[in-house]
Amino acid sequence: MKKALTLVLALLLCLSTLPGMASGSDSIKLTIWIPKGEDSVYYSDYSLNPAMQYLQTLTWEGGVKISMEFFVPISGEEKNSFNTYLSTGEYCGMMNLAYSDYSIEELYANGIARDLTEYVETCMPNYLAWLDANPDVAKLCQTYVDGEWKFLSICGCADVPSKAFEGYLYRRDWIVNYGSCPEYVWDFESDYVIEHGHPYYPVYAQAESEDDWEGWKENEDYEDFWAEYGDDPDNTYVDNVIFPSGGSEPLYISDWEWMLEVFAAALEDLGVTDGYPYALVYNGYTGCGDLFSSFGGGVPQWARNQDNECVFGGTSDTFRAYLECLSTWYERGWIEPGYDQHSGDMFYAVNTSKTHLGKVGLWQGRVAEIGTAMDVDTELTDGLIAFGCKLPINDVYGSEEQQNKIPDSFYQFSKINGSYMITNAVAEEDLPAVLSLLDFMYTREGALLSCGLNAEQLSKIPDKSLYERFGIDSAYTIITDENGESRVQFHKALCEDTYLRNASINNRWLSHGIYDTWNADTGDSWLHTYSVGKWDAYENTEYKALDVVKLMTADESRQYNKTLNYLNTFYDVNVVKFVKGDMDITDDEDWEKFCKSVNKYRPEIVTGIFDRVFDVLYGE
Amino acid sequence: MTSAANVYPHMKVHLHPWREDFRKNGILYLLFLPVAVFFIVFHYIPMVGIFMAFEDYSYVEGLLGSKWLGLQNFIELFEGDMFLPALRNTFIMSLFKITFAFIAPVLLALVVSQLRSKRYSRVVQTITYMPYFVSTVVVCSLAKEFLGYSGGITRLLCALGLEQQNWLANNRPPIFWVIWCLIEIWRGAGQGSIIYIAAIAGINGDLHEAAVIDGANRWQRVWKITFPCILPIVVMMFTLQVGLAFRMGYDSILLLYMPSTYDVADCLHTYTYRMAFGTTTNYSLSTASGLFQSVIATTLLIVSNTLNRKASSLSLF
Repeated sequence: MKKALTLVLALLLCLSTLPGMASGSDSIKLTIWIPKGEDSVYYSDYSLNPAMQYLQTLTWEGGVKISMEFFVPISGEEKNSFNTYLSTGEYCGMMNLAYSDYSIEELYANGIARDLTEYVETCMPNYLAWLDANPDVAKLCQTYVDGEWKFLSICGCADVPSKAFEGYLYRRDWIVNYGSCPEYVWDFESDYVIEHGHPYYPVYAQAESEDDWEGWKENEDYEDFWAEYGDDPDNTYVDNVIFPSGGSEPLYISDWEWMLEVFAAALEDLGVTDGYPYALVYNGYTGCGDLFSSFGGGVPQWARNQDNECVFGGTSDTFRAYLECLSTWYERGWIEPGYDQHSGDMFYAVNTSKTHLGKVGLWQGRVAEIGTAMDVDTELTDGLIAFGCKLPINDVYGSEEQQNKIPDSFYQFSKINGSYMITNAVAEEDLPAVLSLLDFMYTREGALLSCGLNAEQLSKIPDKSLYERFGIDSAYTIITDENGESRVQFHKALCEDTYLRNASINNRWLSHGIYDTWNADTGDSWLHTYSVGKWDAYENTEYKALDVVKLMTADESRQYNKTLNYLNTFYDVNVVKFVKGDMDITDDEDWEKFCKSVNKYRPEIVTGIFDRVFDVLYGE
Repeated sequence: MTSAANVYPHMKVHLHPWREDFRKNGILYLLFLPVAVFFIVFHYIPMVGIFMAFEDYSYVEGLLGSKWLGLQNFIELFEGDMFLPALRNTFIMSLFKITFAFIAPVLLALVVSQLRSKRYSRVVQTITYMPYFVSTVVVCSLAKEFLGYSGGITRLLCALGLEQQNWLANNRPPIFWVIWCLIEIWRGAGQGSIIYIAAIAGINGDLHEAAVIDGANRWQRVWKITFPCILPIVVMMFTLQVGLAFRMGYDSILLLYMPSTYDVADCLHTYTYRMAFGTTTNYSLSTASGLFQSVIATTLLIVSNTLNRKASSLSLF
């Protein structure tokens, strides 16, 4: 009896140590590591997510069902958790690579990641179809190993990159209350502007000093600014604000300078001595899609140009022009004197206290600050309405080469939204079923799981408690908007509560973004949509350079990170010297000294590494 | 320490064979066992990880499979522009810590021991001990508030004729060091004084009574009786402090410093933090830095112990 019991226990122990897949005749188990789950007020296990439940009711290649078991680390321990799984060998069958310090190539070489190439070609027609339709990112979803392209991971791809959640905001109410209608504005209908895109002297002050109004016209439309807030300002606010470039939004550096001057006057009139027109981020530039890139030269580090060559922007003339701009603004008192002292502020939320007290005119803000959100009925916030704006086009600083270049978008989101490896914990015979599940996510039905379940799908899942608790019969409906485009309209309860919405949909696992979901109606105000649209207005280019970092070899990655660390520290310490005038940006000697110091870190080695990767990706 | 045989030369020290000793003191050995296991498991076995300092450590390949780099991690650590300033700042701030921050608890203990009212003495001890329980994040936030451009202390200093400024952003050499040292004193003096107060409480009262009869005033009693009696403890704590000083409270520095004060505030820990965890995680580099700091700390500990032994015949080992 004892022997039999011991044998049974031993067998159970053996079975429990098979971590990835437990194969059965018609059901297999897939263990999945994801970096984040949802709040436990909704459910304790991500497999209870309605979309995940629905996937577990379906039958996959070979007629098998897949039972999904999720492993989610505690917040802040994502990297440790991922590494612990790797180091113990007890890894999950499918693992998100967001927190991996290792390239997929290394994981494959060490026998952890599986080569999926053969199975992707036979079991994932929808995935392959999407990659064929998106050749600009198709190779980024593959890995170049021993002279051939392999599928070592499956990417979550989107037709349209995610929307920005952060960008520049300015106090529109101050423009209305303290700005004066410009005497002259750009004449967009003049021959000169039609041909060149801007007047002969694009800056008002230049045109005025030269008394040359080629491309300008007298502003005859308005005399004074006015604004009507309406009953629901975030949807009903209107005004007649006009900027020197002739439109209702700030487009150029000259517009920004006009705006900053208005903010300075507002602060003076309000008697605010500890406020400032512009809250600059502590290091003076942002890493992706910043003012500097708006000058047309790429980011301070590395970016890909139109010829698929890597360019290092940290010592370029455009960066110098950007610093000249900041230095001028600082000298004019438009930038907070202690802007560089906010390095400890959370997530570039620059001096939030001053911004929220209504003492700042222009700042890098988040979606939660758009519109009237910061109007808390204090003297300085009364009537506050924050508008999002595009990055400015440089029409003032540097030479012609640095001027009138179209900027990049503020945030450089990628079409690739995370990737997953399938590990050796998944038995080879189970791969067709697993990959057919992943391929399903690239069908329209699978993609729409990112918006939750419709009524029919809901009826099929075993645990409907989450939807029932909040009276949701269907998470969304598909509507046709005024432009004739179909889009998702979320259930009212999901529009009102973002956390509930995230918990009700496939928000954490592999997903495929389609236009309907990207353009979903989540109940946002008109001003919210308008502002986010401004942040995303320009082309998103840099992400391609960021994604390719994952294609570097271990040695290249080490070199890249080492150089980047040195440069980050160097820029953090030295950019401020130009801004505050401790070094003179107009002095060639100072600039050369700066460039010489930067070049000491050998950025050209990293440029060469990027060029090699670009050759592999984009070469013949 | 001086041995028992030196202190009591008339006594014979009997050394038992270990088996006999184990039989006689078995319970004591048993009590020590958990401590020994703890140290072996959590302190000695993990020392194998030192190898990471010489490798390009990879979780995937493990300690034995990772690529051997030799001294490359150390070279990378030392060749950084900010390494020398960080090393200099670490030494200077350590010096501040083992002088001012070390003396403060001793002085506090001597002062508290002289208080006549026991209740008042307890209140003082409690109040000075309390900052130790305040989290570093809160302490640093308070420091930022008080020392910021319009902070309370800044205004006070302004009233005294000093320039209005964010004192934490001032990169002139002594200012950050002094602020950091004062914060360390505020947080640690009360807690550090406990051991000295306990030592003072253990001094034989007869010595003080005899001194009073001989006409010694309070200052003379402190200087001639109290201080010499607690000197062995002070020396022991000093020796330990020298070893630990190099591992200063980098968490507070990390929270207080900013790029404009890297020149004076960056220490080896914060430098390593940026280098090893800036853009990606480099465990090997951080292990190399930790090993380098441990070697320095151990060297300082031995030197300090030797100097103490030579100067005062008192030493830790």
